Amino acid sequence: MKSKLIALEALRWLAAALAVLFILFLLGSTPDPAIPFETVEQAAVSQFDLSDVQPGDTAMLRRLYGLSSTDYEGVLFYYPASNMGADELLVLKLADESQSAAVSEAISKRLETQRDSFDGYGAEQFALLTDHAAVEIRGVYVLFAVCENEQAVRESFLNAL
Amino acid sequence: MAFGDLIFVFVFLPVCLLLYILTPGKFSNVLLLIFSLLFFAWGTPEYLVLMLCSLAFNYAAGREISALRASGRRVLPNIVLITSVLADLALLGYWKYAGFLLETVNAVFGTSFAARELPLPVGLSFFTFSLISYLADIRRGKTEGAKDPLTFALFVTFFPKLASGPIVAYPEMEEQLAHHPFTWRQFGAGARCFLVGLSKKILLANTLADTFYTLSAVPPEELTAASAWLCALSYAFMLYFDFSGYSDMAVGLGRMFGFRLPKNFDYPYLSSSISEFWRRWHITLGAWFREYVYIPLGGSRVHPFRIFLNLMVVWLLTGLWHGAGSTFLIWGLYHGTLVVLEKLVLDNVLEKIPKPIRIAVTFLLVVVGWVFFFSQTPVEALTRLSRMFFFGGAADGAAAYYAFGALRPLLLGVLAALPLGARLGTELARRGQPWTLLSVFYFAALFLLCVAGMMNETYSASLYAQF
Amino acid sequence: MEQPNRPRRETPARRESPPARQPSRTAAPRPLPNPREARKQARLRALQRQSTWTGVLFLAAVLTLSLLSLALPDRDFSPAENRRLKQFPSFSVSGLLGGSYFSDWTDYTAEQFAGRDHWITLELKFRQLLGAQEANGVLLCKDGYLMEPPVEPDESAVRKNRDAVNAFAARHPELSVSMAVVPTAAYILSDKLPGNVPVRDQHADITAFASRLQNVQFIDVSDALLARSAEPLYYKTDHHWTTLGARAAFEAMAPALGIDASGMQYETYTVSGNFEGTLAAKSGCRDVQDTIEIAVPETDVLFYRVNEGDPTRFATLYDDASLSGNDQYALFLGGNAARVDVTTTAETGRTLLLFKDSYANCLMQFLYPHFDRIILIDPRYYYSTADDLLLRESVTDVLFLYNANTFFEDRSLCEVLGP
Repeated sequence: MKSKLIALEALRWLAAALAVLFILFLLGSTPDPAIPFETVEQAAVSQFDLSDVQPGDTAMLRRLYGLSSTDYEGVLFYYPASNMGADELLVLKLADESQSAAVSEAISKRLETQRDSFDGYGAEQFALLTDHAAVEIRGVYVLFAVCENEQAVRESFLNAL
Repeated sequence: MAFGDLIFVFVFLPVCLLLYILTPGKFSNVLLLIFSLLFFAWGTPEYLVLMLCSLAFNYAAGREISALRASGRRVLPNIVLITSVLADLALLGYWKYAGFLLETVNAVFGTSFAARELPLPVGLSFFTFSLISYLADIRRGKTEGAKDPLTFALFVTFFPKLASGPIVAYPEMEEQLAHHPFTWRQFGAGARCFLVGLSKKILLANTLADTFYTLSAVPPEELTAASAWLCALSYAFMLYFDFSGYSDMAVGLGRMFGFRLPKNFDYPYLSSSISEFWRRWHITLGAWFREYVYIPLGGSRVHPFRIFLNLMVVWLLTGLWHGAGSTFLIWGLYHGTLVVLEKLVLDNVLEKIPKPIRIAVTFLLVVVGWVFFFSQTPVEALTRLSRMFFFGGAADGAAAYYAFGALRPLLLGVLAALPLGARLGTELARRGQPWTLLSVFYFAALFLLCVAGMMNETYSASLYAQF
Repeated sequence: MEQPNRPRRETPARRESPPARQPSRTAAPRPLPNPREARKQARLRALQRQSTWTGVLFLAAVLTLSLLSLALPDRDFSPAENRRLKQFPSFSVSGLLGGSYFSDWTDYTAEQFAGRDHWITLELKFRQLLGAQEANGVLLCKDGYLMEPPVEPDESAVRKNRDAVNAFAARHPELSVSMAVVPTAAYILSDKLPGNVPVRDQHADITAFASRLQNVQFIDVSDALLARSAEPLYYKTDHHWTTLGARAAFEAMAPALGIDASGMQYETYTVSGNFEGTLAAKSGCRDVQDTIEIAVPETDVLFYRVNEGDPTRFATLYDDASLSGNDQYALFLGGNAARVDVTTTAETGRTLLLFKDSYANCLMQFLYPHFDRIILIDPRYYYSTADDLLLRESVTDVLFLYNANTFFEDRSLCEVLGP
C-alpha cells in the first residue's frame, strides 16, 4: 500500500515537472546570437527560387518596408522582379531584440499592402500572399518569405538557428 | 475545431460515429478517448503534452486521495487535495490571468512587465473545474475515482463536453463510462438535440452577432437609446443562443454515444428573479460554485453577514471565471449584489409582485449586466448604459437602419427563447403521422440552412470556446 | 433542447370492481389496459420512432454530403469568390506539430465542399429574409445595386500622399499637374442606398483633401456625376464606374485639362450582358448581371498600346479575352499593369503622365485622342520612381486619377512620387 502511494506521488511530481519544463520550452528558447548571419542567409536562400526576384537595395528596403538597412547587422533582401510578381524574401539579423516589434509591424504592413493590391485582380499572387507567406521572428533573426515552397524556406531558416 | 465547423460535422463526427458503431464494447472508450484527444489537439497539437501531464498528475492525485481516505487518514488526503487543486488552478491562472495580473500590477506600480501570449488550451476553464470537482468528490467520499487511467482520461477530455460543455461531476458519469450502449433511438434523440443546438448557433447567434458587432463598433458616445438597446438586446440573445446552442450540441453529441450529460440551460430569460436566473443559466457552473465554494464556506447555515460574504466571494469568482478583466469582476459583483438583496432583504416583497413583472424586471437587470460583460472598460459600459437610458437622444436615422436588420432576428430569438417551441415539438412528435414526417422535414430544413450558414468562410467559433 | 426523458411507466394496479352499493358512481370495471394508458404508450412509441428516423436521416444526410464532396473533383479556382481554393493538404511533420496541417484541413473541407456556391447563395437569401441589408460588408441596395460603403480615410496615408503630390508639383513647375478623386456609387447614387444607412459623407472627405493641395489643379467631378445620377453611372455588381460614368466625368474634366472635346462623337457598343463584378463575388449576391458598353470616339487618331515588359503592340484599348474570363472589367486595357504606354497620331504636342487606379482604365477611351502619348502608372505595382521616369520621358501634363475608396487607403503613391 505504501509503495503504491509512493509510486503515485512520484508520478505526480514527474507529471508536474514535465508540465513546467514543457511550458518553459513553449515560451521559446532564444537562439544563439553568435550565429553568423551568412549561415542563416545561406540556409534561407538555399530553398528559395531566385528566378522571379531581384536583389533590393537600401532605397528599396526603405520604400517597401520603411526600414533603414543600416540599423541591422545583416540584411538579405529580394523583391519581385516583375511588377506583377509577389515572390519576396527578407532575412534580417537585428542589432538588438528591441527592434523586433518595429520590424514585425513593417512586415505585416507590407503583407497587407501587397494583399490589397492583388485582391480581386491577381488571384495567383493573392493566394501566394495569403497561403504561402512565412514570417518568423526568433530572437534577433527575422525571416519573411513569400514563395510557393515557403515551408521549406522556413524550416531551413529555423534549422540554421 | 468547433462543433459548428464543416470539418467537425462532415469529417470528424461521421468517422467517429461509424468507427464507434463498428467497435466492440470494450474498445469503445479507447476509441472515444483517441478522438477526444485529437479534438483537443486540433490546432494546438503541442498542448497534448500538457494535457497528458495534467491527466497523469490528476489521476495519480485521485488514486492517492482515495487510498489515503480508505485507510482512514485525515490530514494527508487534504494535503494531496489542496496541492493538486492549487497546481490545476496554477495552470489555469497562468494561461488566463497572468496577463490581467501583470496589467493590474503595471497600472498600480507603473511598471511595464509583459507576459508572453500563448494561445489558450481548448476547454481550459471547463476541464480545470472538472478536475477540481473530481478530486474534491473523492476526498468527500462521493466516489472512489477512476481505477483505470483510460476511463479517467475519457472523463476529462470527452470531446462533447471538453470545449464549452457542461461541467460534469465524476459521480454523474461514472456508471455511464462503464456502460453506454449505442441504440438508434438514443442516437436519434441526440441528433435532434444536436441539430437544435446547431441551428441556435448558426441561424440565430451568428445572425444576431452581425448586428451586435456592427452596433458595438459605433463609438458608445454616438449611440442613441434605440441603437444602444438594440446593441444590448442583440448581445443578450446572441450570447444565449451561442452558449445554449453549444450546450445543446454537447448534450446531443453525448447522447449519440449513449451518454446523458446534464443540461446547462433552462429558458433563463423566463426567470422571475436573479437567483432563479442562475439556476437556469449555465446551470452546471452555478452548481459547481455552490457545491465546491459556497457550501464549503458555510453556505446558508451561517450568520447573515457570513452569507453575504460567502455570496460575494462566489460571485467575484464567477465573474473572474468568465474573463480576466475589470468588467467581468464588476459584472460578477453586480449579480452577487442582486442575489444578496433578493435573499436577505427582498424575499417577502418579491412574492407579492405579479410574475410577468418580475420576469420583465429580471430580464432588464440581466441585460444591464451584459452591458458590463461585453464592454471593454467600465467607462465604456457606463457610457452605453447612459445612452440606453436616454442620455443621448431617443433614436436617429441610423437606429432605424439597424432596427430594420435586427428586428426579425430578435423576434425569432424571443420566440426561440420560450419553451413553447420545444413543447410543441414534443407534443406533435408523440402524435405519430403525419407529424413525424413533418418534423423530419422541419429538421431537414434546419439542417440545410445550417450547412449554408457554416459555409460562410468567416465562421466565428463559440464565444465560450476561449475558456 | 433535449426532449424530456419519459420512462416507461408501470401499468397501474388494476382497480378492483367497485362495491355494489355504489353502482352509479363508477364505470364498469375493465380488465384490459385502459385507453389512456394505451394512448400514452402509443405516443411514446411515436416519439421514439421520430427519434430513430431523425437519427438515421441525419447520419444519411451527413454521409451523403461528405461522400459527395470526396467524390467530386477539387476545384482550383472559384469564379464566384474570385479566388484560389485550398487544395488537398500536404503532410509535413512541422505542419503537424505546428498546427498548420490541421487548419489546412479545416479550410480544405470548407472550400472543397460540394455545391459551395449554392450554399452561399442560400445563406444570403436566408439572411435577406431575416432583414439583412448588407452581406460581407457590401450594401444590398435598391434596384439590384451592390455598393461598398465609403471608407474611412487612413489619415496618415492620405497625408503622406498629399505631401508627396504637393512636393512633386513643386519640383516640376513646368508640368501642369491636375488631380481628380472620383466619388463612388455610395455617394452619387445615394438614393439607392438602404434607408437610413449610416455612411460617411465621402464628398466632405474629398473636399477636405483637395483643400490642402498646392500647385495642383483639383478637378471635382462630383457635381457633374450628381447631375446625371439617374443614369447608370456605376455598375450594379462592381465597384467601378461604367463607360457612361467615365464619359460624364471626362466631359467635366476636359475644360480643366485644356481639352476641347465638345465636338467629339462616340459610337457605343454593348460588349457584354453577363458581367458579374467584384461586389457580386464579395457579397455572394448573384441575382443581377451588368452590361458593359464601350465608347469608340469617331476620330481619325490612331494609336497603339504597349504593356511594360511585353513588346506586343496592341491597336486596341480592349482585351477581348477578358470577356470570357473572371474579371470582365479587365476588358479595359487588359487589367492593371504597372505601366502602360499609349502612343497616338493626335499631334497635340502633349504627353500625359497618368497616375491611376483601375478607374482610369475605362477613361482611356475618351482621353487618347487628345494626347500624343499617355503613360499610365499604377503605383501599387510600379517599382521605379516618378522622377526617374521624368528623366527619361518628356511629359507635359500630369494627372492623378483615383476613386475615393481606393485613394483613401492607398499607401503606394507617395512611394512612387517620393524623392
